[in-house]
Amino acid sequence: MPRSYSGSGASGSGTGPACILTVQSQTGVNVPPRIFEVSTCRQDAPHATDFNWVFRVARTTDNGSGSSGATANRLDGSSVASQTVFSTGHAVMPTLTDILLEVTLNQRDTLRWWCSGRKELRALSANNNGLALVMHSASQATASSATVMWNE
Amino acid sequence: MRIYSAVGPSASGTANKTAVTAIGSTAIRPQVCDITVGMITAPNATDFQFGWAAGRFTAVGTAGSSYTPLTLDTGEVAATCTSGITHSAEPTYTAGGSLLSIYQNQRATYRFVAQDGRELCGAASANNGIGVYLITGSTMQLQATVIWKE
Repeated sequence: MPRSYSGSGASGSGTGPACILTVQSQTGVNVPPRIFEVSTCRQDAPHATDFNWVFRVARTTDNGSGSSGATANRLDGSSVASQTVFSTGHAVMPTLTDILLEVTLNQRDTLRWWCSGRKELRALSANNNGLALVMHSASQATASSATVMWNE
Repeated sequence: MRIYSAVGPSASGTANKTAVTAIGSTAIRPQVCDITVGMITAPNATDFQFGWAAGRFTAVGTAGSSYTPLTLDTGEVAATCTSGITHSAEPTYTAGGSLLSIYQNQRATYRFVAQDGRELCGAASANNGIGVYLITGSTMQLQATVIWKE
């Protein structure tokens, strides 16, 4: 039975690209995270001039520079601790490769995406590879928030 | 597997304001499978986004009232978990322990549905459970429906 975890984070404010959060395999502990649920929304008050922004989920080959101390929480408290490195508050963007999901959202929208069955968004099975949730672009300053859930 | 629901508003405020809790015991723990959240107060003229979370707690705080969980199937026995709504003193949420942290517009409604086997589970311990609460917003009341399995 796969174990399920969640984490939440936010990007800094800007017009993008800005990383919201990442989930990444540890070096030597090659358990690729498999995302099955994502929710995202802008945190800022809506602008008077309406606009849309672009949200992406992409594979990564490194973690950029995220904050330490971000917490991956077990959906079931009786599960073992996560073996994924969960990071948010990136000062340096991770290196993005394959774009698995790209969605355009209105500034007032909240997106909930979930996978069908076992069709999760899966990171490559390689050390330090993972998945990133990114505020790719916006025409007005945007700080985006997200919650991600994944299996290991 | 039996399924129950609880519905309630938070007290008015900007944060933190709990709307609904599902409280377990040493005998049972709630496995939250469905959450629907919106703002019950009239929208502000000045548009805003608000944030809410679902998190584990280790103390139940002070609920404005107890809520009798309803069985979705009336042929089932009563819930073993208990529930509180409209808290005047917040439960003790686990630091950094939000399982969901969602932002939405004041005019929006959000629904989370857990896939089978991926429910938000409280601990099987007295006064532990899962709560849904406002984490940031303009002065408002959150309204939540929480559905869980036992």
